[in-house]
Amino acid sequence: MNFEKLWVIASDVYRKTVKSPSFLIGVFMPFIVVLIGFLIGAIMNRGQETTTIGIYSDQPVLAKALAQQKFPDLKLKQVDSVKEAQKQLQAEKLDHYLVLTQKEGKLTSTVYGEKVPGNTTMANLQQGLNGLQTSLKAGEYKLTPDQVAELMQPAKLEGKEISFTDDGKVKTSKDSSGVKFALSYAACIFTFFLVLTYASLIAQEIAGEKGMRIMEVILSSTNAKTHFYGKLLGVILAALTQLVATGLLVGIAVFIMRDNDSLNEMLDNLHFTGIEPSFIVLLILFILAGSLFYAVLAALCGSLVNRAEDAPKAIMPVTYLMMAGYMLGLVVAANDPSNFIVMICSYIPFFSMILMPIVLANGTAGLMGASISLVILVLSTLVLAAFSARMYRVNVLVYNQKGIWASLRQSLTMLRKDV
Amino acid sequence: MLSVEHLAKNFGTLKAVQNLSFEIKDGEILGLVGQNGSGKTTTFRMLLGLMQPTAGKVLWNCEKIGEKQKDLIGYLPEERGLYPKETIEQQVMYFGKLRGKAPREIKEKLDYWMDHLQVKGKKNDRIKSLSKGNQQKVQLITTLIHEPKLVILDEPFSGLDPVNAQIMQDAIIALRKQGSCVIFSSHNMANVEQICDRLVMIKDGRQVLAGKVQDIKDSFGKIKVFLESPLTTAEVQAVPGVVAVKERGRRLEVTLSDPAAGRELFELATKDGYIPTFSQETLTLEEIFKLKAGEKDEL
Repeated sequence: MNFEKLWVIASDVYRKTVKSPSFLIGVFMPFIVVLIGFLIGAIMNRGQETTTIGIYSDQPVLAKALAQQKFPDLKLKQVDSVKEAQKQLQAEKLDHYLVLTQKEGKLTSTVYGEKVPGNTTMANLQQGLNGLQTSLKAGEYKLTPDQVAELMQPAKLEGKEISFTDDGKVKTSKDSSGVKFALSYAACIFTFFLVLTYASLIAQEIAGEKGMRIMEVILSSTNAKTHFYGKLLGVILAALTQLVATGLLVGIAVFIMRDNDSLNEMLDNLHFTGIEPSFIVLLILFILAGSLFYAVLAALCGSLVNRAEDAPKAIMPVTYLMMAGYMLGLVVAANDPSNFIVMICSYIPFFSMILMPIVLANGTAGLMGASISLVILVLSTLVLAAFSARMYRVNVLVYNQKGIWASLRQSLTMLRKDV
Repeated sequence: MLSVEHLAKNFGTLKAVQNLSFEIKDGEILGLVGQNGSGKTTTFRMLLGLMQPTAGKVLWNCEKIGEKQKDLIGYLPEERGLYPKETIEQQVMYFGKLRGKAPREIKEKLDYWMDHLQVKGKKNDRIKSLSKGNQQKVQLITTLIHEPKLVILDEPFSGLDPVNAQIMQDAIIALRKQGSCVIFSSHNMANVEQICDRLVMIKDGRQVLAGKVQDIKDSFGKIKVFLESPLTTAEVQAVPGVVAVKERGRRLEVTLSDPAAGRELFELATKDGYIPTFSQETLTLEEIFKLKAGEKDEL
């Protein structure tokens, strides 16, 4: 293989790819999605009106105590009678009214209205009533405010991971499975979009070159193998750039928003310290090897058609395979990572790049299992690339009008005869 | 020097090229002519190493042509292949670098060729914004940018207007002066006649004619007569050795089976004295092409 020509082809593919709109969309997509989510949240919050609820009790002290409690988007107002409450409800001054009674030290209440209040309102009311009942009981038992506060203190529950050092000692760390799971989930989505973007790009590029007869000129300058590997290298470099660019942008975004309370709260809850570097390395390797595997498949499929417009049709089997892995990952593996099918598929190259990170994050598979899966994926990619490079040499000069399968059959026949 | 020895290519039962042999010396232009589907493109693909021959070999300076010679070859395909969204410079730079040329050299050569071929456009114009003729010139630049020793041009004149065809023709003749071996295919026999030193005609993959253009023409003899006389078509047709007569205005175009039949026709036409035209000529290449293409049995 001529490495100088390989680099000329790779850098040309790289230049065209990073300048393409789909690359820029790919880099900014995570931010666009977060921004859209943020905007939708903001719009929904803005649209939320305050609910007003009238509180009536035959013991006005209770009604007053409950009405004094504060809740977001909820206004509680004491009313003198049920009749008065109904009048105000009819006049639309109240959305609902609540009748509160106390029998043998227990609070009972019913909310009335044209509609039953929403879940959030009901939860807030429940919380308010619980607090009131606790105060009443505290008074009954003659408890001091400190004692009440102590009583209200919830029990603490924390998860910790343990591992054993070489000398058999136990090493503990904070529970990081949530973060690992989130990362593997993000990797699953990222790989899916990465593959969809680059599979389509590489297939269109090759089909286009074939259709425009550029391929003949290129193959008169270099051999098919160099061209094939050059294309793949260019695509992988572009994918790496996208990975780094996205990482950098996330870093910049976190830096800019470093004083944001909700972000800091979220970061505090994420225990990154418990994540082994090997997990991150495996995650990145799975993303890269997986993208390369599918890029090889897409290049092979792209070389079977004669026009760039036919490329999406040609890579449909690749898209379906990827989609199957994605669904298995997001639906089955996310809910049940120890599922038998998920376990088997996490070693099959078509799906392992999606499933293994999730299975690994959950702890169903260990480092050894993940490494075996990665080795299988890398070896399969190498075998597939070697086979595809041979097929490619024949495919790119076959202009079969009868469709992809007819082209594939013709190419295989020609390959056997070593045309 | 390029030597093609007993080259053959089969696709299953189809014999696309059979026992084809020719040579092109340095500074020589060879025309490969034949009808559509006669095996010209398959021959070119074998010369380029894109296809392995079923039999025979292609030698460059007595060495089997392969990877090592790729940088020496310049190839212009029949169907033009350029990236429409790229600029002229990006396009030429890519192909130049693929042929092992340094960017600085490519830039210099690009300026020369843009000027020499009178490309209407700037270096940073996108290919899709150029006219068909100018796109074809850019394609030729990508073919010649690395100063190839072997130039293979598949239908270089197709789609060009007479002015651009002349520019292209001059560029090809200039390659001969530089000492390159040039092989090109064309359906335009006038172009072939004007610029080829030698030609090879193939039919159904087989070589039916080969040699210097004038030698080929002479080998058919002077069997064409242009005649303007009082003789009618029927009278001319009755002369022994006359194969066909066509009326061309006031003149008759007569095809003979043997040049010697011309004497009898001349004597008959001039029996009453002066006639305005009697011209006995060799066949044009186009006529030879049509004649050979129409033949059922090969030579």
